[in-house]
Amino acid sequence: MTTTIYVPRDSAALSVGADDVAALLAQHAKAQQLEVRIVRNGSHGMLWLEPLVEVATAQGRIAYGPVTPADLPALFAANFLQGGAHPLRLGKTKEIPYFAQQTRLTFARCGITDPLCTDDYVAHGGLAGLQKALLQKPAEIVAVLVQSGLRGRGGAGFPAGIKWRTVLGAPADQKYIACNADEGDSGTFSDRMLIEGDPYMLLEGMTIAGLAVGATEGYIYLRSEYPDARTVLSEAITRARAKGWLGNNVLGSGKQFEVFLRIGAGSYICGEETAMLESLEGKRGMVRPKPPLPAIAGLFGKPTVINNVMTLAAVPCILAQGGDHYASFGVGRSKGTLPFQLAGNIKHGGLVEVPLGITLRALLYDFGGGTITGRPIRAVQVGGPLGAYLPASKFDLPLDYEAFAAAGFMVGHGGIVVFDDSVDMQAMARYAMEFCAIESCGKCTPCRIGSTRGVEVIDKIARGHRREQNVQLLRDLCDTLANASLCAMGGLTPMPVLSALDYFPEDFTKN
Amino acid sequence: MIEDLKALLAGFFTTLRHMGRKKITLMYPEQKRQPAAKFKGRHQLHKYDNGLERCIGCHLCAAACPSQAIYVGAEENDPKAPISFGERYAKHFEINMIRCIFCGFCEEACPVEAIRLGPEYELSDYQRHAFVYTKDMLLDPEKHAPRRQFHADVEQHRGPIGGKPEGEAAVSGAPKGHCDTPTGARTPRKQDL
Amino acid sequence: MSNLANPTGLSGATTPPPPPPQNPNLVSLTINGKRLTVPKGTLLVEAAKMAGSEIPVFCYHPKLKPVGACRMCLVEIEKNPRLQTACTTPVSEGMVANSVSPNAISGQNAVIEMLLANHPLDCPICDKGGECPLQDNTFKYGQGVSRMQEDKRAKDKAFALSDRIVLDKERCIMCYRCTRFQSEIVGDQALVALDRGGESEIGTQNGESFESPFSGNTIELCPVGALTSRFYRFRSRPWDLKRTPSVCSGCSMGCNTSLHARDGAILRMVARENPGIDDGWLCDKGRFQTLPPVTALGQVTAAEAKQNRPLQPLLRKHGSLQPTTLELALQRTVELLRGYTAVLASPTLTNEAMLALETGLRPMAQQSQFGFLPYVHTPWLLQGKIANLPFAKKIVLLGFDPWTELPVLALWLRKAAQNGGNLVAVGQHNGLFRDSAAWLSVPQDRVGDTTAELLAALTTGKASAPVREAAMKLTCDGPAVLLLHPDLAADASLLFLAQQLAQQLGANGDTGMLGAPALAANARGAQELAPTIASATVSSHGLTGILLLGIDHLVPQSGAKLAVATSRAIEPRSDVEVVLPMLHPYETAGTYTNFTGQRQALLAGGFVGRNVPSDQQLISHLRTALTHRHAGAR
Repeated sequence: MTTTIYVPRDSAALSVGADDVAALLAQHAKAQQLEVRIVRNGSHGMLWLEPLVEVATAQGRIAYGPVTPADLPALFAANFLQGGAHPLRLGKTKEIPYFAQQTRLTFARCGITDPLCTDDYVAHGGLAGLQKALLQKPAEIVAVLVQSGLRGRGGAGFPAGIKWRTVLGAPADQKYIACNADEGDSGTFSDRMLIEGDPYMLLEGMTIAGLAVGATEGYIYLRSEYPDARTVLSEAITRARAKGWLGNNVLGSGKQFEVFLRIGAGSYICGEETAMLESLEGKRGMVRPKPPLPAIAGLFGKPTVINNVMTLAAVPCILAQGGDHYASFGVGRSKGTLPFQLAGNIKHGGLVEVPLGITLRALLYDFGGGTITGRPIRAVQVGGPLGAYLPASKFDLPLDYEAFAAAGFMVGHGGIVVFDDSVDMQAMARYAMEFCAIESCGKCTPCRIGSTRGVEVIDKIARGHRREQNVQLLRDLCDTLANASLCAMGGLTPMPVLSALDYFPEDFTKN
Repeated sequence: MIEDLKALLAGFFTTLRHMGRKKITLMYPEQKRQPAAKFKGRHQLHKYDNGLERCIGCHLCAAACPSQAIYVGAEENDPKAPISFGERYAKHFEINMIRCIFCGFCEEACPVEAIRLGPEYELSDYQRHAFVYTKDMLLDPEKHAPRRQFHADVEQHRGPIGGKPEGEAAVSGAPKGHCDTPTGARTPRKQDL
Repeated sequence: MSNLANPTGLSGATTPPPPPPQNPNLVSLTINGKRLTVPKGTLLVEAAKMAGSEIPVFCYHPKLKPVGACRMCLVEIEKNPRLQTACTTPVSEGMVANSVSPNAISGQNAVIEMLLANHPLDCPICDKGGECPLQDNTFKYGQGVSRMQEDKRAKDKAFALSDRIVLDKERCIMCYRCTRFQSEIVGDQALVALDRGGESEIGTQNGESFESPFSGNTIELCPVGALTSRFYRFRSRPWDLKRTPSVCSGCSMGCNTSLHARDGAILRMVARENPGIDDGWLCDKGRFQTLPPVTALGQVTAAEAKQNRPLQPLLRKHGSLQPTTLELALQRTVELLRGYTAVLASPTLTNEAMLALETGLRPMAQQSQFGFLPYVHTPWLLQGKIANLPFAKKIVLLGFDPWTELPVLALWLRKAAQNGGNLVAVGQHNGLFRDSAAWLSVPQDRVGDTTAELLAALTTGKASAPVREAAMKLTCDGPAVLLLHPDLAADASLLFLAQQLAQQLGANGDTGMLGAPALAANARGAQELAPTIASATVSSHGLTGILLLGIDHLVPQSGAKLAVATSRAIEPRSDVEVVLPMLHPYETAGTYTNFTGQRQALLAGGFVGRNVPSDQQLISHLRTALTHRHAGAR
């Protein structure tokens, strides 16, 4: 009898030796004349348990992790192919509390299926959304999306339905869907996990977007730092085309949609939507001024829907299960689920998809289990390198767009980076400023000059040189950056700097 | 009548009173007056210690000059053999001393303290064109300017520039003969006349 | 100025909301408390100009697309939490904008402070000092002091982008005007931004030389002294310059210019916008290569003195050219013109000189052949206005490459192509290849065959595939332009074909342009005012004497003795007998006729002395001398 074993092919698993584990597994099985089928699935998002090896048994999928090549003889000895007991045995994957407590809508299939297997995709509910969409008029699809309350998951949180409606209403001979997979924020990895774990969902979401707004071409802008995601995605596009899911006759409907993959060149700013468009057009990745909005004049001057991977990947589920179902999750105007990514100094780092409105404390302690070092958490950066540093006093803030914005923070892409009490917040403020200085495209004055000079001013504060005047200068600089920058990059850089200055002032006065 | 006599005596008394006082007139030109510290006399162009000219040929003195007495013609420095600090130097620098009103605005306008008005005041001459002081005359007056403008007693009176006494600032070793005015090509300009 | 007149600028906020506009293409808004109505789509910065308020800008330029890079034009707009840039914001109905609110002013102050934190502030030696927008804006909108005490960046100070343009990377404020000009207006991307963030700088791809026929315009566009002219560098300060409006003598475009002279020496020429002729641009050929040699006193370097132009008459005596009087020089010239001789005139002479030549000089020297060098006659005079060009939908260039022949015309044709016009070029060269719908690249001697094929493709449809494809582009409706190279127009059969093609396309002078444009500066004036001379061909064989009038270079040595009237330095060749000094077109007053027939005035921008005659005066002197000869002969 053939036993199915799942070894993830996700980059996070690969980086801790999943390939070696898979290869050795096959060797051992062959040596012991056991018939096994090794499926390279996506990750479940429990990254501290990677490589998480699952065995399909009669009771369901039993997880073992983290499995190193050295553990394999013992695992075989413990008869793990039948779910035998072993210190690494975690029980049924579905029942691991970290996983069981999540609400997986976008990541429903991620980790369960073979990412590239089209049959697996369909067997696990894939294409349901697209099939429904094909029966609807564009305006109806947009209406479902508006009803769902889905907001842009890239960071800005702009209602996706409204954006689509604008593009739908813009007259043009050609429209485009542009998927932003330039996931440059430090501490974020949900886009990569989805592309590596369930690429067809993204393609399906883009196709639905194309049907909704009348676009026939989609571009995925993937960052060059994700070679594994690139391999998976380009293979997925090829297979989807062969299957007739993409092309001139989408699922035999006679409708047309084609997806092209484009790779970035390592610039953070190309994750900004207009800079991404420039880069897609083959130009230097520089921010464009708005107006005109990309929804009116975007890629190659045509109306373009630009959405993040997470946004587009949420679309098939919304279409399949209805806007109401999606809107039933979340709080207030922040509907649905958000895949949060726990990183930094955290015991149980990984991906947590939960409805919006959960508190930071629940994420950090109930899911994350506190810091690895065991020291108390001092600061948490939410929303990538341009997000604010939150002190412990703010941990009870519900994670929804409005509550965070009201407190002067941002949820962003849902990346959460944790620091324990040994962190020097002055150094972190300098890091944030330096990040802006290095990653600035150089187009607008405040971001180009202000960030560079900001680093120098923070250095002066660190040296204790005219501290009060320089702190005032730093605040003025931040004010200019926030108020006068061309794009969100310069506009948000003050957020980590000022939050460090406001909530951790003691770090700026010690010498 | 007594009133008249009183007035007469008062007049004599004033004369008598002044007879005892120290004279303020000098036997010029045998005797020279010591000028005040801020006296504005003949201009001089200064150099740095390393021999580079201070003047960068920026025309600001010419722009500030209320009598339009200064003419500057700038050129680009040869980076291998620079004449002044930076990219630009004054190839031609001329002051028409007849037009000059010695107001010192040029000194104030100068961003590099190149031009300063010195204590020399004996500037008379016999021909109009002799009053157009060229760059060599201004840079190295001891060598090129009329000899009578130099007096040992006033020479030491010049203030320091750039923190150094003037005598040391004008060191030898500066490139000589670099500012050859094509005098043959010169014809009088409007401001010369 | 009115910013200061209305320091609060808030009165607009208290006025009742304006009624909806009658015309849907108009928008009412309030700027600095002043209500006004402007066309829809107007940028706020332009609307502010109409309202009499100045909003400071660096990167914004009315002819370039808004980019929002410098952030100088920050304004506060009601109901908008962040400051907005006036250069990228189109007006909207009921908008209340304020450029003088405390918020907007603090934003402008901060931007100036940042720009100056990186700027070297070497204004005293900067060519732009005195006419510098950064200086002006700092004065008007800066706060006077900087709190940034960090070191300035150190970058290349005199980086030679090309043999014409020097870049000071320290001074650059990254407004991208130059790169945008090269990519939007010229389309050659000869200048690009390099590196990223704080290290961004302007440069060329792979460090190649900055070669573009329009590169000089970037000097004028630069709002700081970063891009400077190799030729003007350090020659003067702007306040010393005398500015004279004139017309370029580089080609028959007739671009309007302003001549900037110090002490009579023309040091530079800049564009003077004429929206019907040059659109505010000049080509490098005109800007840098048409100026007279610098003769200002005190400006002559040894090298320049050697190749200096003659400012007094020279006569060959004892084997060398020696100074003489005008009378003697004219006398010798008249002697030279005896017998089988020729008078060759430059088409850059003014209209007045052309007329004097035709009606004054020619009848007095009937033995001499008269002609222009280069030959200027075109059998198909151009019809149409330059202002028609941007709206042209069909453009055919037959053997004619405006990119090199009439560069500024190429910018107009490019504008047409960007407005949806289809450009079909036939010939060996096509500088507009990036904007051409089709380029039938054939040698110049095959242009006739291809024209015939193109005509056939349009009428009968019988042609080779590429020609048919090109012809397809010309089947749309709309104004048509057809330009034939004047040299090819001499071929009667090609001329006939071109005229047929123009007719087929429906080209006419009212909506489009057609003809063979005269190329030299006043060639059209020559043809109109000196028709006999213009259409004559001079045979150079066996000539005993030649008078060259205003021609920059000598004719090949042929045994004939030369009398040369010139405003340029000349080679002291042994066959030069007499040299007559003459004023350069930029030093004389007169008129030029451009290739479309438009007459424009030149004013004297430079001065080289009272003894040098203008072209017209010289011709009149010659006429007098010839008259005396005739009188003497009788």
